[in-house]
Amino acid sequence: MMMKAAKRSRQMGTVMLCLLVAAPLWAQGTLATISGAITNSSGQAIPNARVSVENLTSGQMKETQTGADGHYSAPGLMPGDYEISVRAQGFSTQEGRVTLQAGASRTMDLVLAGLGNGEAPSLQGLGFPSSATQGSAREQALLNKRSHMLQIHQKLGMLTAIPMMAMLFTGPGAKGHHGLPGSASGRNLHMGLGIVASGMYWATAYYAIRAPKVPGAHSYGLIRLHKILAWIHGPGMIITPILGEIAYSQLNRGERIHGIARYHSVAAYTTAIAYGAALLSVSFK
Amino acid sequence: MTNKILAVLLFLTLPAFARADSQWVLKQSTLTYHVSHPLHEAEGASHAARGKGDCHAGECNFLIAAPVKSFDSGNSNRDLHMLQITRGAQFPMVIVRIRLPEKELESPTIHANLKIWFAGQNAEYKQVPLKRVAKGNQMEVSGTIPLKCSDFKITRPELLAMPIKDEVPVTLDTTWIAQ
Repeated sequence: MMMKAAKRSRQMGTVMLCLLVAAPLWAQGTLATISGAITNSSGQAIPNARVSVENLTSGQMKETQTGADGHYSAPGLMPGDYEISVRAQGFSTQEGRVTLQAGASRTMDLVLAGLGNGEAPSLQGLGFPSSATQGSAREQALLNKRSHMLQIHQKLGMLTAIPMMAMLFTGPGAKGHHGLPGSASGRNLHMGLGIVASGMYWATAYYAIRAPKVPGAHSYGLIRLHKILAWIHGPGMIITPILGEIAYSQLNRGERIHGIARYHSVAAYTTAIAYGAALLSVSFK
Repeated sequence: MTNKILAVLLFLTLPAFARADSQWVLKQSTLTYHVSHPLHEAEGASHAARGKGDCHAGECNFLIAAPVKSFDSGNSNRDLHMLQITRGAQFPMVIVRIRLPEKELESPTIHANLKIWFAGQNAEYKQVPLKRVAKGNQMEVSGTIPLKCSDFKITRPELLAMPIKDEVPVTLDTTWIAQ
């Protein structure tokens, strides 16, 4: 019985192995390749040209770039009709269509015309260092991430101003007037708003602090003021809740606010003013 | 003998009828973009453009190029955001090509056809009026290109949930020197 089971298992394994080996071979035989050379009208190779290969039926897009010799290659394409689109800095976009049969290797060379007459003067002739004219997808991705995070920072920052303002308005109700403590509900509302504002504030701060830094970039203009103000409202958002908690406990015990808790309001107003100024510094010129 | 003299005279006077080729080099320039937002206006300028002009067979081709990151608006955050939305890291140069008949260079107002490569896209602006002032072997060319974000598939940036205007006119002040 055991022998039979082992034999069946071996047979199954062999079938699976055959299928695993055969599948890529079948795919290799089915898939097609398009390649070619991208040149200018003088026949010179255009390196780093962006080549997009789009399947006109499925809409699937494959992208590649030309090498230093101006050649590109897009392997692993399903049979079908394709549109090849080539873009390069300083040249007009060139497009071409090709039908790929299963397993075929097709060549499509394209000549890009310059934005002017195609010849002189050229970007290369202006003497820019190659580091200035070469694009970097990695750096672009970093900038995209940075902007995305800062946009969240900006929107959350604006929303945080709402509970912060509400805290300023509910403060007197929590503290009371003329030496008399405020109501417990006023204190609870004020504290609840404080927790919401604090949570939103630190979430806002997270998106600014964790936004990727751009190598070589330095701050100038009003954004510097925005960052300097963070050194006021940031510590303020730590100190104010601590002092608030002490004041809350004192009021709940029926005591008047005393000791360092008396500075809760001052810290809160300083924080709110610095925060408001930080918002305005990036909102207006 | 008379025929020989006539032939020599003809040979000597022929170049006078042919239009001379000329080359121009950008001596100095300021390219400035203007952004309008409901809350404020902003502008960024670049002085880093380089350019060349080539006139041949009655036609002139001028090329001006500037690194996108050379535009300075006085606010590093805005400049980095501008660099991001214009895909300036991936396509680091803005390239302006101007094509015009050579005789236009004698007129105080040039109507030029501009082809601009920016943010990975090409856009064409036809008959853009440019003011030209000749000063010896130099000429100053200035004007405004009616650039739009949508022409280059640029997503308009927002501030306080309000986007900037689609129109971002670019003024150019250039001084060219004949070679």
